[in-house]
Amino acid sequence: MSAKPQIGRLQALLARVTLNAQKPRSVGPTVTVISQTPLSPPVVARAAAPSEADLDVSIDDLLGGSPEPSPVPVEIDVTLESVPPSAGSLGSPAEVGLSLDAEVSEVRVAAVGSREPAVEVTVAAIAAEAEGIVLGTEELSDEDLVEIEDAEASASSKDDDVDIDFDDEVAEPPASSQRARVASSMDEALAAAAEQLESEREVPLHTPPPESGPQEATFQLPAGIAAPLAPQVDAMHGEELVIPTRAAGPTTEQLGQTVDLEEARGPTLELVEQPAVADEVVPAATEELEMPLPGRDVVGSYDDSLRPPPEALEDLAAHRRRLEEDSLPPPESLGQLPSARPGAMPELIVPAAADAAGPVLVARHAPAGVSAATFVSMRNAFQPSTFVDLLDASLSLRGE
Amino acid sequence: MATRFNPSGSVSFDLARGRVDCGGEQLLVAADALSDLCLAAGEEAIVDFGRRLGTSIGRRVAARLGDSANAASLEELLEQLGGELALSGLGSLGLERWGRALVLSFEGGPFGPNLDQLLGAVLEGALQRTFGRDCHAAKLGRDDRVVRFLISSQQSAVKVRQWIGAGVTLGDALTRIQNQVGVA
Repeated sequence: MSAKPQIGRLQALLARVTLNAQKPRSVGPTVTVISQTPLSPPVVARAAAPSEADLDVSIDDLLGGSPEPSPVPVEIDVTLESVPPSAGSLGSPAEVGLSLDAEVSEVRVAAVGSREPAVEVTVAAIAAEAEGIVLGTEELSDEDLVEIEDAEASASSKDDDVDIDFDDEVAEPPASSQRARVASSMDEALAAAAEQLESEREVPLHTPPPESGPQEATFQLPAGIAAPLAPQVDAMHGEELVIPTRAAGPTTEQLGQTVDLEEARGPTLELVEQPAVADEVVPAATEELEMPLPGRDVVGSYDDSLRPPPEALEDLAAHRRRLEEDSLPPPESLGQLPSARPGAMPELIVPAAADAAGPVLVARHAPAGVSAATFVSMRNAFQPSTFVDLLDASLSLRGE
Repeated sequence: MATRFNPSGSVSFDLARGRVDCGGEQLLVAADALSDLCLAAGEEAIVDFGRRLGTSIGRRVAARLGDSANAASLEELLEQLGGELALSGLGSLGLERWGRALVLSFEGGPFGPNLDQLLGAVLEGALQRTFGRDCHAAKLGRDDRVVRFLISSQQSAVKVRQWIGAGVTLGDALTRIQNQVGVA
């Protein structure tokens, strides 16, 4: 069989598989075969009639069916429609053979010892791919097709003998392979390519490890604070570099070269004591609106040319007469006795004169050597001399 | 100078015959037992019993003072009468003079306040026997350990008891009893 008819058949197979996948699923018997390929014995579905009944073209026909047994088992992964595995629906191998079109995802053709086409289904592949495969779609990668084409091409070059090497797939379990989904149309392929491109451009959300190298700090300064500008080195080229200093004074290096100057030579200055200045009353500066007070020499003096007022003439005459009669004692108030005055004797008191100018005082001689106050007891204290006196006095009490 | 009380030889214990002699046969009894007996006997019996005790004490005081009993000063009588009362175990005698009122007091007696009437009766009997005068002791009041009696006539004693019973204080009662003095 040439390569083109095989490709055509494969494409027809692919189309049918896709068509079957789009059909609604019936309640038919499902076969879920759980297999661990290297450890547990694989569940092998020997599809004799059913495979040919359901699949119009057998795998042996597709592979060319070499009459001689090949030393290496040929395994062809045909991903069929699968459903999620259910633990309680594990069927017998016969049932598995009756529903290969529905559940078998891997078909292995073992051409050891006979030319009978053998289809070996690895259920692990079914279980693994059931998670990631969308129902109703058939996944066949381009690589598989290419490999098949290459194998067919090589087989055709060797007298149409199928000799496909799937070592890579044997080494890598098909259950863990994540093959790209084949686009059914050009639009879908373009959308998938665009999505892949976008996924590649996305920045990983993971924080880069610290050993990824120094990174630029991306913090923002608060408002009002700006980072210092970098010096423009290019502008400084060709100009004299001026280092700004904090103060205009000499620097520390300049102070190291300071020369001490000698003291100034000149006449010695002597302080001359000021002569004692006489105490002079310096009149304080007065304000314009303030009238100055008279000086000390003015106090108590009056002009002799002044005449007393006429209503004071009589008082003045009486005053002068009293000045002439200065031998007379001054009048005493009634509250002050002459005896209380030191040195004054009652005999010195002059009887009232007939002069109408002063009051007439009449003093009484104080009694000498006589105690004016005498105290009289109202009741004599009872002082009993004997107990019997007290007893009799107490017995004589009558009360109110 | 008052004559000091000399208690030597006042009490003799005849152990061979089992007697106690203190100017006559005496009996040493427990104070609480005597108190219960007096309380059970009644007021009149207490007064009679106290007067009997005071009469015997007054006789001994008169014997000590002799003919000078009427001339004895306050201190002398307090010394002798107080000595005899202390020898009998009735407490320490005190004397107070509130004007013309004679107040005698007991301190540290063996009896409680329920038998103050007994002490007053003892004083009445002692003074009556010593000085031959009818005396009455009216209780003025009692604090923690001191009980005071006014020595007066029967009429005055009755008045003072009424006043004290009505809530009149000791000072007021003594003042009121001296407001009108009647010479007996």
